[in-house]
This record gives sequence, structure tokens and C-alpha cells, in this order.
Amino acid sequence: MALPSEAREPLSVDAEKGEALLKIDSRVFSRDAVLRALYWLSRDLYSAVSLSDDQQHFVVRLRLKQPAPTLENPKPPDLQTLVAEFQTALVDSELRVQIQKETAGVRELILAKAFSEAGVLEDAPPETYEDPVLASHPRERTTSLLKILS
Amino acid sequence: MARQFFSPEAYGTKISTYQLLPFRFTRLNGREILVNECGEFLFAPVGTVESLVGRKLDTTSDLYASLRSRQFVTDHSSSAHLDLLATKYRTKHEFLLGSTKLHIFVVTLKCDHSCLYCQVSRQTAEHDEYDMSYRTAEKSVDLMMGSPSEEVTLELQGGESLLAFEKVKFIVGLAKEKAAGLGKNLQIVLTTNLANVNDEILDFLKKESILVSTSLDGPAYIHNANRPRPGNNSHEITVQNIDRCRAVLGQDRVSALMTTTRLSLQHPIEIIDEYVRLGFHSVFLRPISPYGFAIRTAKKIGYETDAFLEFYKKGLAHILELNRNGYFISEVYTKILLTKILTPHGTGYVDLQSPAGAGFNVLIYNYDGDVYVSDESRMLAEMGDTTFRIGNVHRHSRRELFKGEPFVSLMDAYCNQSLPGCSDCAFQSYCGSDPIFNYATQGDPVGHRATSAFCKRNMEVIKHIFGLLAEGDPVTLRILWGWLTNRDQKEMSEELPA
Repeated sequence: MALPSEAREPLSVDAEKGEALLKIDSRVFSRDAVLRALYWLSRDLYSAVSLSDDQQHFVVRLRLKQPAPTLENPKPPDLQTLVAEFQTALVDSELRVQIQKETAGVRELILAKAFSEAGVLEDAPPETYEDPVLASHPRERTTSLLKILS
Repeated sequence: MARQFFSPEAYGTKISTYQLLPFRFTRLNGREILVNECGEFLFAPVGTVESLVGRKLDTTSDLYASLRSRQFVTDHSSSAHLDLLATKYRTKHEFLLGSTKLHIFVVTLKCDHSCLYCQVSRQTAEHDEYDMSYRTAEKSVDLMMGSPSEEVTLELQGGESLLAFEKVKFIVGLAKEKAAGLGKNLQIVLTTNLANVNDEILDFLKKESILVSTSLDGPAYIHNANRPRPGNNSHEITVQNIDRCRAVLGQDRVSALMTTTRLSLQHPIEIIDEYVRLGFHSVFLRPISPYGFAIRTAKKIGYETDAFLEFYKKGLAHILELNRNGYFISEVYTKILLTKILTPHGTGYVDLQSPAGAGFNVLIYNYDGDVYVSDESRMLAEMGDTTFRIGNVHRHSRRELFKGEPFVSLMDAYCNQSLPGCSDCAFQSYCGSDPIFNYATQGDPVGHRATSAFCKRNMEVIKHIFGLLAEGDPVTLRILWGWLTNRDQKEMSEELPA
């Protein structure tokens, strides 16, 4: 699915209260992407996510953890910046979700081939999986990856 | 007769579609960095990933050719990519082969220094009950030799290891005998503050080919402030005995390690210059660990990650300048990361591995026979928290240590591939998982990346290194490659001309 280069504008930002409400199109962005983007901002923001009644949108409520400067942290991040960061992070997260979804099978196969000598697989992966250099050294082949000797 | 080539399309089938291979990405200084499953990277213009995923990338472009050759994508004209990627992946994770290689013996808790950051509850020199017993030493050596690895390193530390020299001699003799019987290659390192070195000890170290690792925190006013001892002359003694060791053992048989404190943070240049003055060719700009007395004295020596990062960047810039001026000196942390970024190999550095090095690649045998997964977990135990004590040499076999509840319960947090925040981080293959750090600083082994000092430090250091690579200054690149191949930048200039 094509992605917009920027996420939707926030529905409302109340800078004074340090709160924002965003509506994210659930046909464009997945739940995974929304949660991953929020994870990285959880140092500065409290968040709550719900699905709209018509299930077309994620409703994201954000609240600053530190709305006003303190002696310990005289320059807390401002809400507008964090909302903008969230929108960029959301697009990147969605791309990451799509890449992971599309490549999960191949990744599993690569790892299975790489670790097949540990003898933990029920079925051998397709194609050749022995390292030809290692195979020519029979002594080395007895050293499994995570073998534990009592 | 005039001749003309056919159009490019005539020489090959146009690539209409391609398949993505696993990779991760991030943005840095107006570019995207793409990193594949095996740690190979590519700088690309912003928007590349979106085009790639949306199948909008021009398959006749140079960018596409680069992405294909570095295995970010595959198409009908690619060949044997899975076997190749699997081999590269295995090479990167070679450190797992043979399991535990580093075995640290705490031969005594006695120490004559009272360092601010000391990570153990040191004991005064009269207390022999804090020495490792001969029986415990035998059992520990047996367990060590039970490791499947054919290459094992024995590190003898304290407290101050030389305050239990008889035990050191006993353990070295026993370990050598057992290693020879099992056909294992054994390397021995003695960690010592050098204050108690004498001719008998030096003869022994030479005869047994033992490497010496000592502490040097910088010039006298930093070293002596960080490492108080009666007479306040730790720096003078250390420097004197480094020379003495070098004269007997050889220049390259003695290494030094510095620990960063709040005082050190203000003096990166002076610390590095002290290493140069003493003829060292590497320096490790290490952050302080959040354990032991370091936590108790946090107000005195505590500092923020930001301050450490500034220290590191200033220090690295100075080190690069020294190399430019002809003195070969590498920064160890940068070199570890560069090995992961620029070469097909991983490293044996246990603090930056996934699965975590704790236990799999290092075990600590305490003076009392307790076994820990890392020196840091032993320090937590000294503070009263035995979460990471996985057993005791007198009661447990190697299998029982690794199959017991304390070790198995940690497994959920051992792989950064499955940790929140790390699982899709572009720098995952360069970084690692440190469940003990997470536990000590954030209260649970999984940790929270958005507020983690470990994550922030490594993220920033890796970005800084990528920044240097992206700038592409030919002399800087020569220096960095030279660190990986042990050649100075003049030698490198023949291989990597400007």
C-alpha cells in the first residue's frame, strides 16, 4: 500500500495544557506502527490509544510528562515538536512494519541456514546449508553453536 | 560504416519487480542509512526506503544496483543470495561458537587502594578469609575447562590479585596442566594495580607468558584522585612499574585501562596525552559502570550520559588528530564498533553482544565459589542483590549452571533482536543486549529503550561513527581502516589514496 510521506495533521493541540489529540487513518497505518512510534516518545509523553467507533481511525491522546520547566530540567521538550516527531516516527515505523512483514519468511530461512549446525531444527532448510570450508575440517564440525558440556 | 550500440535494454531483461530482503533503516544528517541483516550498510537519499517499499524505485538506477549488490533486494537476476547471507550471518555470530571463552577468577577481595568507583567491597590486606581457597580454585578450573571452547582466556583479578600471589601461582599451574591435557589453547591475563610487583613476580609472569592489564586513569592529578592509596602515590607507582614490567615482559605485554569519573570528564585531552606520553597505542574511553561503590558514591562521581558523550567525541577528535600527526593510537570502543560496521566479523567484546555475552561468553568465579554471569552481576551481589548468581562451583556442574532457573529466567532479555525498541533499530547488528545493566539501572532485565542510558550512549556513539564515515574525509577513513588492520595512516595511504 502506498504511504503518505507525512502522517495526518493532529486534530487538536493544547500547548498550554500540554495535551494533543491525533486521528490516525487505520487503513494507512497499522496498530504496530502506532505503538512503536509512541514507544520511542514515551520518555517525554504519556499516551493512550483507542479505535474510533467506525474502526476507521486510531485515536491517540498525548500528554506531556513535564509541561513546565523545572530547576532540574529547565528546557523540557515542547508539545508541537514532539507531535511532529511522532508523525515522522509513525511513517518510519509503518515502513519498518511493512519491511518486516514482507521479509519475515526470508529472514527466518537465513537464520535457520546460519544456525542449522546447532542441530536444533526439525527439518533441514532447503538448498545446501553446510559451510564448505567448515565441512572440510571434520574436527571443527563437532563444535556446535550452543553445546553445553556437563 | 558507422556503428552504434543497441539501447541498454537490448542487453538484458528489464527488471519489472524485486523482492525485499531483511533490512533496517534510520535517518542521519539528511540521509537514510540502510543496514541489512548481516550489518552491511548503505547511505541513501531521504525517501529511498519509501520508494523501495512502494516499488517505485528505478531498477535501472545506480542506487538500485547498489541495493541489489549489498543484498537489500533481490530479483530474478540475483543468485544464491540466501546461502551467502546465511554464511555472512554465521560469520558475524562466530563469537557464539564454543560458548564461554573468558573466565574471570576473583582470587581475593583484598586491596590496598580505595578507588571511588571500585566495583567490589574491598577488604583490607589482613583478611585472608577473602582469598579464594585451593579447593575452590580447583573446582573453578575444572568448570572453566568444561567449556566447549578450544580457546580459553583465564583472567585473574581482585581486589588486588597480587595480594594473593600464592593463589595466582597455584591457579596458573593447574590451568596450564589441565589445558594441555585437553588440547585447549590457554591465554592468561593478570589484572593488577602493579603496586606489589617485585622481581619474583616478574620472573613468574615472564616464565608463564602472562599478559598484564593495569589501571591508568590519566595524569597524576586525575589518577591519584580516582585511585587513593596510603601515600597518595598510585600514579607514580603505576608508571614506574609499567616501565619495569615492559623491560622484563616486553612492551606489548602490558596494557592499561582507564575508568571515567566526573573529574575525568573534564580532561579527555590530558588523559589521552598521558597514554601517548607513556607509549601506549590504544586507549579505551570507557563509561563508568553503574555498580558497586560507583552507585554509593554517585553524587561524587555520577554524571549524565550527555557529559560522557561530549567527553568521548572530544577525545576521539583528539585521537584522530594525533594519528594525523603521525602517532598511531586507536580508541578501543570505536574500533570494536568499526569492526562490526566495516568488516564481516563480530567481536569478542562481551558488553556489546546479542545474545548477551554475560554467561555465554564470560563467567566469573568469585573467591567464595559463587559463579556469576559477569563482573557487574558480582558487584550487584556485593550490594546485596544475588539475582545474577547462577550457582556455585562446589554444588553445580556447567550444565546445571546454564539450565538452572537464575540463568534461564534471563533468556527473555538476552537478544536485542526481540527487545522492544531494538527489534527494528537500524543499529541492532552493531549493538547488543545488556540485561544486567538494564536491571541495575531500570529495575528489570528487559529495560526501556526510550529512557535507557545504554541505548542513548550506543546510539549516539554509532551515529557519530557513521557521521565520520559519511563525511568521507580520506585521511580519517585511512586512520579508521588502519585501526582495523594495525597500520598507520601513512601505510594506509597506499591502499586508500585520496
